[in-house]
Parts: sequence; structure tokens; C-alpha cells
Amino acid sequence: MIEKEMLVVDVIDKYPETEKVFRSYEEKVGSCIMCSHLFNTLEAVSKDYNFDLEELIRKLEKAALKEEEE
Amino acid sequence: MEKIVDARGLNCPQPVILTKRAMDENDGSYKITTIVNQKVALENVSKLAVSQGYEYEVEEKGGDFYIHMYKMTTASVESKEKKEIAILIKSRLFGEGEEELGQILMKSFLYTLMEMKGDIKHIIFMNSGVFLACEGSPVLEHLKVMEEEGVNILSCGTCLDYYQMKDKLKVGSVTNMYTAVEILTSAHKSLTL
Repeated sequence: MIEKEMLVVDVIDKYPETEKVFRSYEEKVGSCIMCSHLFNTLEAVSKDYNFDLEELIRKLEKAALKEEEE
Repeated sequence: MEKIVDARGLNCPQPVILTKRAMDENDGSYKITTIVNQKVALENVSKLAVSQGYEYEVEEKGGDFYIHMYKMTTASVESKEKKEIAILIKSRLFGEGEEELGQILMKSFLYTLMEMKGDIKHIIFMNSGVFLACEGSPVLEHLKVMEEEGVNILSCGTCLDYYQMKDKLKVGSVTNMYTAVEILTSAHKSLTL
């Protein structure tokens, strides 16, 4: 459903609930990911911030699925 | 006809998301104007406009930025793509040899680029080239002028981290290798220094 090649902006546009997931990562790193990396892929963001890419995608998919159920 | 997206006071990514939704509904027949009051929102909405095939103009009024966006026709997209030039600068010096001469030549090169205007679309700084976009750079003003004229100035995030210069970046934004390679391989012409 969510691929590592997807851009942050496209993920949030398609699944607005995922904004909360990015927000939680922003709190961890103390930087506005959605300001500076909005047009980067999930893979690139993970590399830049040393995030676990699989975990990030898992969390995003969970949020997206929750949204679809509602 | 004009669609107005008032995104003043909204945090990232909302100005971009609201603008994108207006673009998704637009068949290209009308202009979209997004109003923001933060520079980062201005930068991101401008990037969105380019990525979605829109031309844009920015008007500043009372501290707010009015981004007027027009969908480009196929012909104008093609002609624009044909002209796009990307420049990769890998060092703070121009060429090899004496440091002082390298500095003079780099300053002269960027001044000439600024004066030429037109087809330069991206300037990407890698390795010690990132110093040119940071505090204390002798070419900062040239780069700022080019950025205001729509040139996309990008500095490698890994390089800024390595040199501990991330908080000293004064022009443009941070990028990564993926984006840099994508720009360099999709530009009509690319030049490496």
C-alpha cells in the first residue's frame, strides 16, 4: 500500500492520518520533516534521519488502514 | 477564473496539501492562488507548482506571499524541459591549483551565472561546495539573487553534517543524493565543476 519510493507529500495527501506519524518522528528528531523533506521519498527521509524504513512504513500503513476502516 | 487557497497560519504540510487538492480539481483552465505567510510554505508550494507542471509568480503583500500558479500547456512544458540546466558544484574552489585563484574563479563563475539568467534551473552543492551556500561565503549574495529568480539551490545534507555546517546554511535547502541524481539525470543539460 505504501512504498519506499513514495514522496512524503503523496503519502500524506493520499492518507491524511499519516501526518500524525510524521509528526511523532518530528518530535523525536526535533526537526520539521514535513517542511524540509516533503518532496523526498520515504527511503531518502529514512536515510537522512537514520530511521528504520520498514518500521516507518509499518506505522504509516497502520495509520492509513485505520483511516480506511473509519 | 481563479481559485484561492488561503493557507495563512497553517503549518507544513497543510499549505501544500490544500494547494495540491485544488490542482487535482483543476482541468488547467483557471489560475490557482495560494496565500501563505511563512517562507518555508512559500518554498514548498513553489516546489509543488513546478512538480505539477505549473508556472508560478510570487507577489509579496503586507508580509504575506501570494503564489499565483498557472498550468503550463504541453508546448510550454516541452520547451521548458528542453532548456533546463543543472549545475553540480563539488568544491568551494574552481578547478585545481592555487586556493586564492580557485576562490576568484568560483566567484567569477557564479557572478556570470547570476548575470546570464534564464536557463539555469538547479545548482547542487556537494562535498566542500556546500561552503558556498553557508555563512561567510563570498558568493552568498549571488546565490540569493538567483534563488529569488527561481533557481533551485540545493546543498547535500550528508556534506553539511560532515562539515558541521547545517546550522550555517544561508541559501537554498538541504537535499540528498537520490534527489540530486534525479535532477542531474532528468535535466536537459548538466554541468559538473
